[in-house]
Amino acid sequence: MIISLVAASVAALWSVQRISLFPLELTPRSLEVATASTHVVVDTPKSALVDLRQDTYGMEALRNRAVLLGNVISSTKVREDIARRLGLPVEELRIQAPLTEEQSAPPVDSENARKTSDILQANDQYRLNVQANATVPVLDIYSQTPSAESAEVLANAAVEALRTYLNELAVAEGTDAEDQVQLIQLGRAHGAVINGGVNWQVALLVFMVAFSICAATVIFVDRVRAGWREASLSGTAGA
Amino acid sequence: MIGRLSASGRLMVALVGISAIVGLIAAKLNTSGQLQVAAATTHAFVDYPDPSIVDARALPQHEAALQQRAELYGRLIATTPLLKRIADRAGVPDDQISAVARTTAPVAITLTQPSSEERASQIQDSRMPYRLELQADPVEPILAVYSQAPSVDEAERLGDATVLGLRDYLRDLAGRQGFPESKQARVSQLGAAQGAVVSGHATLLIGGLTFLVAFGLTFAGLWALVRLRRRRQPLVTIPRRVTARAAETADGPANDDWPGTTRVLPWMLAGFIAMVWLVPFNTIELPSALPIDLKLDRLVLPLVGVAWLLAFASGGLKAPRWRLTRIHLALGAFVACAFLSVIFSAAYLNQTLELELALKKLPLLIAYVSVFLIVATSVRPSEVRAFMTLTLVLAVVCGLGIIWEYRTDENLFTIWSERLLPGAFSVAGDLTGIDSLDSLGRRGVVGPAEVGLEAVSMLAMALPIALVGLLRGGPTKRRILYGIAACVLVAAMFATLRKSALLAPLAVVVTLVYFRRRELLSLAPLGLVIAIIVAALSPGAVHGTIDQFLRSDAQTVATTSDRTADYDAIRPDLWSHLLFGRGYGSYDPATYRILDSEILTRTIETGVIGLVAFLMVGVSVVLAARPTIIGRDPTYSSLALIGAAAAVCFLVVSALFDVLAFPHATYIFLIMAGLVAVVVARDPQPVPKRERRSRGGRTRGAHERGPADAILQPARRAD
Repeated sequence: MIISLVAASVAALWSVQRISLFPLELTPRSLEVATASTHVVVDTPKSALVDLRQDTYGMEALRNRAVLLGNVISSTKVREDIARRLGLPVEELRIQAPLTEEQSAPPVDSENARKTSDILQANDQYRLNVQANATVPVLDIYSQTPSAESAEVLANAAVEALRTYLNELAVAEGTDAEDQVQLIQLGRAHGAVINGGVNWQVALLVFMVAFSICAATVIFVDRVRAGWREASLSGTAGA
Repeated sequence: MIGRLSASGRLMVALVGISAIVGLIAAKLNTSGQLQVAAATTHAFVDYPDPSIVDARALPQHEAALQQRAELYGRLIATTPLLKRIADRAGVPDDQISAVARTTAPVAITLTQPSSEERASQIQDSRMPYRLELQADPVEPILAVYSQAPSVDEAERLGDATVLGLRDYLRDLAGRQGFPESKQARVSQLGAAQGAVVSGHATLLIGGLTFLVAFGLTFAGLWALVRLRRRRQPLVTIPRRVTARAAETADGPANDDWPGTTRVLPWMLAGFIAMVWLVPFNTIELPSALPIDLKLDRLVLPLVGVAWLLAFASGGLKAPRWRLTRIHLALGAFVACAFLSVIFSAAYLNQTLELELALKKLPLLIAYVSVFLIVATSVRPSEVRAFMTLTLVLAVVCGLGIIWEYRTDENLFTIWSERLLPGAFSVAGDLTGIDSLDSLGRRGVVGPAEVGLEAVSMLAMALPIALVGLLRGGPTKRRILYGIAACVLVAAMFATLRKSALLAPLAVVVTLVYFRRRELLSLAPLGLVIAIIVAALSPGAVHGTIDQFLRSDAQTVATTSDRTADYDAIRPDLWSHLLFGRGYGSYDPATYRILDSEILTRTIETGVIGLVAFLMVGVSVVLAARPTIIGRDPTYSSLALIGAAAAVCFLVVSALFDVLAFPHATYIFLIMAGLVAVVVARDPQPVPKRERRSRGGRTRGAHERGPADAILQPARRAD
């Protein structure tokens, strides 16, 4: 019983903290999932929100532009800019470009290819999901990271990096301000953790599982030993 | 008065008293806090300033442009700047409000199902006490605004403030851009928001359910402790009544076993099993104004339940008997987890208006479990083989019907149900299956089931009856019949054109291989014969099914990629309700994602603990059956093996589709589990000395217990 308790306690501690022996220290594991979101209207200088002269064709053109800009966010240059703003190696950032009717799932050879093992992945991921609305020129940007602060920074960085890219492009190509596409960010992203207190839950779960396994193992070993003892006793008696 | 009670009476009063106190405390704790939820509705009309779209001169394209504005404004409202304005106008805290704009346009379902990142955001938003939902009409320039708040007044204010806040924002934007007000879109509110309390009985419902569950679990726990303590005490007396019953069931009054019996319950059970196999009951409904759909099984099952209760109450030797097995414990644990999951998330589900959904699903779970209990208590061990044979016969009839449907595009089960049932029932099934082509262009060959996968699961769970019948040997004629049955079942599975037609029977065969390697090997040549007959019965189906695995885009077809995408997409749900999930039955596929896996659905709804409990139901059948299987009892080991194979099959198909949502397959599994429970908990038969000696050093099965065990076992039950 004591062996099982000790082993289960160590397993529970290990599940929420990384244990280092040299030097002896505990580092918290990233079990929390944080989220933040922001929305961007892809607009013309005279806002289509109020200008009714923009007809359905104009809106359709803007919607297509939104899909394009969503894809630009996942391009190498903008991705590097986002990673830099977040202070993160670029390879740790995972960006999902907008899915459309024509491309309704990530390509199987992309970094976003789905696998059944995804459910077991750790929560220390920095993920950005860009969605282009199917009917209106709006980009929905969702971030998922291990902390509320980083989720907030990541979602906002995506908009800022895209805006910077478009400005640089306009300057490089000498595009007039009144001809440029406008990105209207509808409020800054605000991050929040969705699974507060998860450390206790994980520790409890691992404790229960580890304790059950240890206890079952101890009982099994005990029974095997008892069987051997019995066999040796009956052997002795037979002799 | 309590002083006059016997010791066991006083114990019972004490247990009930303690359980009631625990139940009351739990109910009080779970109903603390704000549980009232009110909702209000209003509509906003997006229009041209002058002339209005209502004017006869307006063109259709004008209306389309305005409809797009309505959609855009819906998206706009669900953003922080607008929500702050709305909160200010409504006088509610701006950090306690969230909004969601639903996609109402006809787009592919894969684009409306939330990804992991979006779902995480939705979960965060769903916790806010003040919520808005915006739905743009897909055709008209009208935006429906649904507001939710703790009180009716606040909900109505929120609804009204939404339109005012939108107007404020657009006016400010136009002002900043120097846009003339006369050319702006006009947003008018079509009547003030009308609200009402939508969770009026939440306290009563949550409190009542919490009390019942806490009471039940406490009582069961205490009762189990008392029983355990008593079991340790030496048993000295064996009531005569019990030994008489044991002798009767051990030897078996052969002339009173089903089907040669006048007992009503086994006949009703047989009728129910026939309905499960041959009638598409889930698409047959009796129209009514009740809050639940009156499907055919929901009308038949209560009748069986009443007969069972009457038989139970009448007592006597023919009454149903409780035989507690590991399967009972596993099912009990799963049901407990399901109820606990709803109770722990009750306040959250009430807030998201999903409590009612969960409360409707719990009785369905009870109905499932009641089928198991009725079978496990009503069927005698000596009747199990007859019920297995009945199941096989019905499965073969079902299989022939599916093969017919594959070859002629006629669903005989639906057609005949429509003809035979009284006109009061409505049958909604597809008569041809052609209407339900999936994304791969496969026809919906379903038989009495709702989907092809369910049909495969049903047939695969009956397949071990035929295969084990072949393994058992016996007269050639009987073996030929079993062989034909196996061919029909396999051919029918392939006729559904589902990939699972390969996976589900494989699970059955692997289980049989595990327990009966040598015997199954001797049947290998027969496999070739079966393959040829199957190909002849369902021409093209085998090739078509195998081809689905071999095609170059096998990993990217929608049926595969959608399933794979689910594993990542549900991570926020899993991590936000890790232990007990968000509540059994509360995950609505229409609102969130269609999850083609019972494993994932259980993970979300009942958490990791509930998932383990669910898996243990299947595992417990195998574990309970194992001693009997390896004991090689000539009468019962084959029956236990059939049950174990069906359980493994059920676990495998649980990973392939949301099996609990499809009652045919679930009922069949629970009937099989009930029959296994009967087999493994049968009274020990006296084993002749000679026979015992010949069994030598093999593991002792339940039937091989010593005489002392044989005497003690019934006495323990008598406690």
